[in-house]
Amino acid sequence: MDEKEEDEYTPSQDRADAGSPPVADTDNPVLELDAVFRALAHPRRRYLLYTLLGHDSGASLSDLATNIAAWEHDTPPAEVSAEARERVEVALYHAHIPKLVDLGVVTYDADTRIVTPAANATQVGVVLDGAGAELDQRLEAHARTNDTDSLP
Amino acid sequence: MPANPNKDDENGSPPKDAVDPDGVTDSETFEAVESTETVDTGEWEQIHQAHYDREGELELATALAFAIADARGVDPVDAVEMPPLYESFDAEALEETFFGPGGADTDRDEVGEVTFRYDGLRVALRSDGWIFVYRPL
Repeated sequence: MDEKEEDEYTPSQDRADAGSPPVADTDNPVLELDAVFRALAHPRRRYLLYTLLGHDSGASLSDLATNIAAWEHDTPPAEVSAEARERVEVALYHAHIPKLVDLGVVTYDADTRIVTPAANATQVGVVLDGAGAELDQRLEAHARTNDTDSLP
Repeated sequence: MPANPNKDDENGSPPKDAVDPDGVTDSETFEAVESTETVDTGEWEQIHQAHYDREGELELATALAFAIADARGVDPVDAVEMPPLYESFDAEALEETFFGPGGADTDRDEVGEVTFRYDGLRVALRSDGWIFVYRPL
């Protein structure tokens, strides 16, 4: 934690603010490469983004968690246990989604629990498509085939 | 986004360093997320402990959220009703620091510890995986 972090992310004062859209990065359509890689550094965030980038209307926290758990357990989404989904959901909510919000890649609505692509999503998507084609194939393929099972 | 123009304490409570006798220097950084309802006496009481298994199924963020939910008597299902832990610290970075590749198979003589404030609580994570949750006395 340092001053830079303070500038980029002021902790919300109450729970209602938890889903506030980012301020800093959305003004700048060019997301620095550092930030792109930070967004993509964790496999759960990559999976989330592969799934989400095809859905401009967003996806629910619960559906995203279900699909990630399905991928990790190599099981169809319909067979994901409540416990497995919940564990992923908690990690998304407490760590991954706030980080992506911070980076201006997604927005999160705390009331509806819907995650939506934000201003920087396009740029992350470009990098994802480039890397995914060669190196992230299994993860990407799973995300793209399963997203229709539980998302609108 | 709420502004945080002045990190200095305006309430006349003792400096945060006073509550961290073991020298955790970044406590001041986390001051902003402390509950405003908490009167900081500098005294803490441990109310829960849990163990994070780096080989286990849980991501560190999930393990910490569950530990805090347990400490509060909150059903783990409702851990997504609590304020995001990310407001207090970056669990992914902590996971990498204490439990990431490279450190895992190495003998380390020291046990490291990081403490942070979360919604009025004090949470300590040790590099041996123990999580301790404290509330103010």
